[in-house]
Order: sequence, then structure tokens, then C-alpha cells
Amino acid sequence: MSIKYKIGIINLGINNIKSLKNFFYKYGEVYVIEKNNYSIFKEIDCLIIPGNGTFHSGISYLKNNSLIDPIKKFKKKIIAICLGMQILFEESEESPTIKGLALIKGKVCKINHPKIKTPLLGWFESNKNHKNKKNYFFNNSFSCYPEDDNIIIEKLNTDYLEIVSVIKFKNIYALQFHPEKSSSNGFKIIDQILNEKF
Amino acid sequence: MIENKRIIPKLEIKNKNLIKGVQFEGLRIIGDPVLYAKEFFEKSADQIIINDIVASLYSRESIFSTIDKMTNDVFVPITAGGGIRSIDDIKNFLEAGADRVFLNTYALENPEFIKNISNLFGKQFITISIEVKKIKNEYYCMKNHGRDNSGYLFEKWIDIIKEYDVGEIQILSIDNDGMENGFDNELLDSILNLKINCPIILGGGINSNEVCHDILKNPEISGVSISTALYNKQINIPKLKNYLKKNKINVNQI
Repeated sequence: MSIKYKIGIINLGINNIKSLKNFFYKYGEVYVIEKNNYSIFKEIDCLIIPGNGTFHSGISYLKNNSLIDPIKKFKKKIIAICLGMQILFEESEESPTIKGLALIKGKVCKINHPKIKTPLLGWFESNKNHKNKKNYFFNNSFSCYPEDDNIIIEKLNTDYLEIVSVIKFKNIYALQFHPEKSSSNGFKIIDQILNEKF
Repeated sequence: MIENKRIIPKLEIKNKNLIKGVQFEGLRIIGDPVLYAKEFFEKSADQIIINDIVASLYSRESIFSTIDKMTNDVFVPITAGGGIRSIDDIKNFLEAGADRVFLNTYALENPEFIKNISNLFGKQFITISIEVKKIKNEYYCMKNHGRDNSGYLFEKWIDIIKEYDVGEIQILSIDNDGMENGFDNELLDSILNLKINCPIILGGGINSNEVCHDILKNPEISGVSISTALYNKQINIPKLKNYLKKNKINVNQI
């Protein structure tokens, strides 16, 4: 890889932070952001909002570490992963009393269909206009529903229920699956996002 | 929806060594777990399970450094466990590079702990591992790596877990572990009858493509965890996936 990036990963407290670091090292320098530190936000080319945990735990962590404002003000690329994607929305059925970051209009709902085992755990096929089918590793019980359908780039290949897997909105690339755990397909999609080929 | 069935190498680790026993006993050293994990990742394993089998007896440091090294080269999920008894234990596994954790003994002793983890990490984060042994014609859940009987009948424990709404269940047959005689079909039938509504993976005795097929053809079962048959090369992951695909079972091929 020729271009090297400066990548900041928000540490949401409960993360697989080590495996994220090792994945993003392949793209350049990696900084773990633990609390608001304006100098780091100014330096990085791309911000990663990862997430394991619940909607409530993720939002509280950001609040307690004064990270909400700098995320909202960050105008370069944001890659949000799994829970990181969900907390960008206005609200979630997982934690009904908690407000999300509301960077994307819409809400997060529980995946609830008799034919779908939850959590959605394992490798599922995501597609772009029924072409470019690729398997990615998913591990989630909730799914994002944006108000504006046009920002949906990829969905899961399912007849039963709409499950959004990739969204692009302004500077935000939101992935419901874990690219860092999706082997070569994970590297491919991050390559495309970072190299403007998305 | 197309579910790709998962092929999962299960690595049992004692200190810094990859080991393998028969029926959870008589452990033999296989080699360096980091090298094996890398090889299985490159051969398209869908996930890797790491079991620290002496966690309660020795220091944790060696398992954390092993997982740490693994994550340099392995870009599929690592589910780790063995001796987890606190939220801090879980955080330490995560910091070392694990993506998910499994619980066995402590969940049996203190089922409320499952709820605590769910509240903090979300239910998708936890796998409950169940080590099953047939005693006087009944299946019991064992703890402490198969050494002690928890007193729970398998079906009773499944009922309890259902209430706690966990992310995944791994069921291991101790009687067939390392015996290379296939999975316990009677146990499989009983699992299929239990109407479990979360992903289930099975392990213990899985030793051929045909055995994997017979398990994975059931929509209730999401994956198989394999150890011995991978070390002695009875199962080769890419060949297994080709075989399954040919027999109309979806798998993730890279």
C-alpha cells in the first residue's frame, strides 16, 4: 500500500481494540483516542468509531469522556463499525431512554423475525444492487433504519427482513459488520473507502 | 436468508502450548498455537476458539500474550475463554485481542453473571460453552474442563440459558472428544428437539467431511468446532468447504 494514513480509533471502553489496531496498522499510523484530545482530532485523516457493547454503554462512554462534540465536528472520513454505526442514529430500541448522536436520521430496531436467529452471528452475504456479493462477519442483534433510503449502499441478502449493512452519508461510512474480522473482504472494503473508490 | 455455516478450529492451550487430549484428559503437546491459528486463518477458518484450559491453576499472562501475538495475523473473530470469573477477566481477554468470550464453569455456578455481561456488552458478545458427559444414561453438564459434574442435566441447563437469552451456545461432547469416532448422534437428536433460538455450534469427535455435513445440514446448527482432526490432517478446511458446497450447504469461501 503506497499511501499511509493517520487513523484515530475511539476507545469505547469495551472494544476489541487490539484487533482493530492490528487491522488498521496495515493502513498507516494508528492512534487510540481515549478522551477528548483536540490535537489528535486535528491530526488524523480518518476516525474509526468501533463498538462492542450496548447502545447505552457506548453513548455513556462518549459522554463521560467528552467525545460527542469532537465527533460531531469531525469533517474528515468517519468509519463507524457495528455499535459505532448504531450510535450515530437518533434512537435505539436497545436503550429507549437514551439519545443517540443523531448524525444520521432514523432509528435502530431489534432484529425480530421467526426465520432469523439472533444475534445475527457469522458470515452473511451483503450486496450492492444484487452484484458484488460478499460475505462479511456480522455479530449484532439490532439493525439500523435510516429515514433516507438513498444513503443505503448495501443490504443483507435476505427475503424476510431488511437489514442494512453499509451506509454512506456525507463524510460517514457506516458498516454493520466487522471489517477487521472479515478477512480479505474486510481489507477490500476499507481499501475502497480510504482510497476514494467507494 | 443465506447462513454460511462456520468451520471453527478450537485450540486448547496450556501455558504457551497448543495441546490436545482424549475425553479432556491425557494432554499431548501439538505445537505453537500462534502458528496453528495463522495457518487455519489462511486456510479460511471462519472463526477461532481459544480455550485456556489451566486458567484457574496458573497465571493468566501467557494466554494473553498468545492471543496478542495471534491477532497480528488472524483477521477472523477470536472467541476466547477458560476460567472467566469476572468482568475484569473479560476486559483482559478483549485487551489481549479477543473479540468475544465464552463461559462455562462460572455460568453454571452463577447464572446471574450472564445477565451482568449482557447488560454491559450486549448478548451477542457471549457464548455459553457446555461440556456434556453421559453418566448413567443421562447427559450432564460438566465444569472445570470436564473434571467435575455440575449436577445440571443438559436439558435443564438449556432451559435456564434460554431465559438468559445468550448470543451463542457451544455444545461439546466429552465422551467423543479426541476419539475420532464422529459426533454423538443421540446428543445431536436431543439438541435438535430443544428448540434453541440462537446460533449453536457443536464439537467433540468431529473427524470427517461426512460427519460435518450430517451436523450442518440441520438448520438449527450454525457451525462445528474441530480440533484433533485438523492437527492430524483428517480434515482440511478448504477441502471440507468444497465438499459442503457441493452438497448444498452454504459456506464462506475466500
